[in-house]
Amino acid sequence: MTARRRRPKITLDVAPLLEAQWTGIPVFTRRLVTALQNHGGIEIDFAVNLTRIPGAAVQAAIDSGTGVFLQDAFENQAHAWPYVADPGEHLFYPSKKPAHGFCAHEASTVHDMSTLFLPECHEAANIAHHLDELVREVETDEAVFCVSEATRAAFLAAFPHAGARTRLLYQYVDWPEHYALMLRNLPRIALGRYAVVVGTLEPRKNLALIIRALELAEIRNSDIRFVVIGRLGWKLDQFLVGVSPQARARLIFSGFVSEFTKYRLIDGAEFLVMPSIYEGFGIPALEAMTLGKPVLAAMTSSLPEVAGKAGVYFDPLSESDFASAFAEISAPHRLAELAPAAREGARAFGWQRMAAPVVEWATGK
Amino acid sequence: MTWLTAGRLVVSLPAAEIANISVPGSVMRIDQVLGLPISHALACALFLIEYHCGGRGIETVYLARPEIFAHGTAAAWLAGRLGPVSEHLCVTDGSAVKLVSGCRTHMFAYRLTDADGYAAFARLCRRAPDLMAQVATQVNTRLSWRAAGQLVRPRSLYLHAPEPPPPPSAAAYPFQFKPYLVEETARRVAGAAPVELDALPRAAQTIYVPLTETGLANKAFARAIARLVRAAFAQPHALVLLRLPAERAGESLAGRIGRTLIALAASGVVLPRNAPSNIYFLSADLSPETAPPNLFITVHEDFDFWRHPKRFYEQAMAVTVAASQALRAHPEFLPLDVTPIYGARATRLWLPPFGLGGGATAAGDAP
Repeated sequence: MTARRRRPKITLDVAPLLEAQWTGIPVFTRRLVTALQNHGGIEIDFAVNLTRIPGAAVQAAIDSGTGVFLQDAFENQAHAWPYVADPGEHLFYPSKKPAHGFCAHEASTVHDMSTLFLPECHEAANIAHHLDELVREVETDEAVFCVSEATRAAFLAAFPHAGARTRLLYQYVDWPEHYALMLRNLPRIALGRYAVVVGTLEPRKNLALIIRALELAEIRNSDIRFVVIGRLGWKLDQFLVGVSPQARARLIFSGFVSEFTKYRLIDGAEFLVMPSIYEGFGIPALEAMTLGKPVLAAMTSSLPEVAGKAGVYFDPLSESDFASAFAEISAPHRLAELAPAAREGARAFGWQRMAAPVVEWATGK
Repeated sequence: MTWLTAGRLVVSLPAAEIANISVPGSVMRIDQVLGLPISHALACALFLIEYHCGGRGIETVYLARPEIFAHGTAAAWLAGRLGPVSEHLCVTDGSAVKLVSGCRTHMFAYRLTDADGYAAFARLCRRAPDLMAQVATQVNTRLSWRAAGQLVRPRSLYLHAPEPPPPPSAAAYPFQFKPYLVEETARRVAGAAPVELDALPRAAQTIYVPLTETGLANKAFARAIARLVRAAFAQPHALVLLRLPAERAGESLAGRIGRTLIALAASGVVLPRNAPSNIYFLSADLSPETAPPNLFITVHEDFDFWRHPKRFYEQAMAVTVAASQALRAHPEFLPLDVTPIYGARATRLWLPPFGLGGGATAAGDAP
């Protein structure tokens, strides 16, 4: 009888999934779990801070789309769960490493280097959290996964000696299949022509550029409004001071919305605007592209890499450059040209592409 | 230094100075940058760069955020706008040092006399030593740090400009010292009517001490200044002008006075409580035009000398540059001769370690 060959195994730290509300890194983690499960080439164990988590509990969290119950289980039952006892195993962190040098094969993920290169956009505690141990984390990493080539370039500027150990880990968009069906059963959103801006309102998202540009002729004379999706807050009132009522009426703030509402708003939009100063990847661009929407994107960091030919680009610090690009992408013939490029570009980012580099690392390639 | 002898230089700006203002674009000309509401310290630094580049036929181009053009299409877009350039001068407040793809990096840390800026720089060296190891030259500083177990000390390049932008007009505030009522004293001093420089008493000698936050943090220097102030109580013919350390973001004049009083109190030197008529706080720098005759200047080693023209130091009777005695044996870190920077009238004052010999227990000081 021939012994069945065991699949290679990794332990995936799913600490980000303990968050109650999943955006950003928790969603990235969920997508990675799903991608690796779809791939099937490796066996996956789960852990949080070196404590093993039952696979069923992780799956239940993914199915329900929240970490509330997983967090409760972790806090109340983890004392009875085993710990990661084998120093020889592959331990993968979808974000920074809370502990380093425990396993022979450790890997972490760099989402962006903004705490190092844009410290003015962060609180001191956040900077310390990301950077204080980074040198040691990188030293003990067998592989450092970067979420884009731009992030890899930024990482290598700070850690040039780690070049051979870096790998790309592109994520993908996985709208639930029933969203399209739900959308068909709803009327079209009655907002007229509009563009969407997705993201938490924080300085580096650069919403101030749009607000300052509202009075420029290219935008003032357009019939397109801006629907801003994301939590309100950061100095928004300050930015709106001095904006005329007519210009202010061009902005609609949705606040935080459900995933389906976001899907619906993007689907009804002419295009997506990403004015960010800096992005590690820029998932909203890819979300829009999957729905055939072009991207009016800042010429910065990873955005050209993600949006590719589906993008019209502008200098993120120039209102006039933004206005010119806005005028270009608003033209119906230009939108028609860009829509196929958006769908085509989005197809390049799938679960297979996300799973492959992790599987290659786990199998020693 | 290639970037100072020929060609084209890209100068990147500190993000904190431009993060909350509207700029004309990522790539700017000097006139566009100087039209922005930037700090006087940054304006002086840029003026200095322009002066030296202009004199050597070097074309400068200013870049707001090099970090966003690190790769691929964005890097190519930037390269197209910058044109042929191989040298990058990163003007930094200490919080970040940035690279421009394809360029050699030099650094001008223009704000390290602020305690926050200095602390941020120290953290940066610790957090990203390999990034910092890529700095080829430092302008007007003499910093060193460790990377991969090696000491890194980029070559220092000292630059002066003949006429930096004039400082904001200075006002004088009579000195008072009540170490147990610092905040109230600072408020009272700041609230009093300021004295115009022209109205200050005429003195046989004027001792000018431009204080910095990092200088005051050096207890040995604070003690030396406190003793200088105490001596002035008994020398009415001498006028002492203590220029306050630069203001922190949103800080009031009273805050700057309060920080100075706290540093003097922490030195342990006993100072009289009565109000002298010959000791003043200054809200801003003196300039060659506003400086009284018979000027004696005392600065801490870290003082940003380049904010004054060389003729300012040359018109002084003497310039004293104070540094810790412990550094005397390490000329690789600290040049013993300060005349190349401050001119022929400059000498060093070696400060004994605080708490050892001549420390707080000397006669007349608090126990």
